Amino acid sequence: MLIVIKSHQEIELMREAGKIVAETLARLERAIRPGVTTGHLDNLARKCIKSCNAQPAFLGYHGFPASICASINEEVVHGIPGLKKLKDGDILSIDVGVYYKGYCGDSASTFPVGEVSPLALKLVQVARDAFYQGFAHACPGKYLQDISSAIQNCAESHNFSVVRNFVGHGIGSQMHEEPQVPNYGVPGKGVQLQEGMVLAIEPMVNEGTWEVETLGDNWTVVTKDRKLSAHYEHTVAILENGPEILTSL
Amino acid sequence: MDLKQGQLVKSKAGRDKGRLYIIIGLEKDRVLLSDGRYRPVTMPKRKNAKHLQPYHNVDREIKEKIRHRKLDDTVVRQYIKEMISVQEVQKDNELGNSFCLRISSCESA
Repeated sequence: MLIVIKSHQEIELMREAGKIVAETLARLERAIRPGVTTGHLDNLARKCIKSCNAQPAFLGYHGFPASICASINEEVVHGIPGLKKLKDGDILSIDVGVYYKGYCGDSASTFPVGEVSPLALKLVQVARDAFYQGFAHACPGKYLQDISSAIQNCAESHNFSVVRNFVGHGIGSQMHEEPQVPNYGVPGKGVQLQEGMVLAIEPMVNEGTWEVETLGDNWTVVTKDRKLSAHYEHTVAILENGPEILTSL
Repeated sequence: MDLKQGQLVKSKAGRDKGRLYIIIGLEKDRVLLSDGRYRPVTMPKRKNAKHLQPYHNVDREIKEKIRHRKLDDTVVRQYIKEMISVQEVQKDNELGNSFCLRISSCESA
């Protein structure tokens, strides 16, 4: 496995790319309400990204037709934005990726639409908490699966499950670099983390089974039992003094 | 980010762009590189650190051999060859349509 170690200058560029991702997600969050279509959110995202002189990383990637992934309720990841209108009580996961000055930023969050059930809210909160549990282990000298295991423990302690088939990844000048960052694992296993590694850590937490399937559009991934799923992701740089979220405002 | 003896790097600029090397020595503002073939251990390439893309891989055996001045071109060549095949496998593993990577196995990585 060849894991690229980024210089301070490269991480600074990734910080700029990450800021654009964060601004885009914040702009979309303000627009989310019942009745809005996911296609409208995609248009907003595209304009926001272009206005920052960045490029949407997902648009055209292996033929993906949109700038964001918009996954509703049982959709785990890779939902294609379109004419589908958001309803009160839905949860919506939005994944945004951009290229800026040759470097990539990638982040996702799940948002409640209007009034959602306590269970849905808890799921969203646990996905977020699981990320931060994993994030705390993203330090030089720790091991990759320290992150994975912390995420898994957090989700499973609330009787939720983590998706196995899709994992986080290294990120840099390419959207997908080594290493893979699973959301499950054994502490002390995997590659030892070093300063200069940058990871997209992204727990996908399901209400029911961890098993998923891909729909006929070959993109949208849904839970096998059609129960809810939440996604939370940030691009994280491993620095000398600990981890830093690059996709924040 | 500190470069280390024995660390694998890729050239980012110059006529050798894309070529893999091992760091066999560090000078004040230059790095000494060998690939065991075009740049043997006895005649390393001097390159500016900012023109290198470092990887996390530092081979312990090679590091020890550098320390004891016992590194030879065969070892470097063999290691670079292995790393080139790893690079090829990584390219092949760019697994299609997903933004969070799809993995083929459910085993821990």
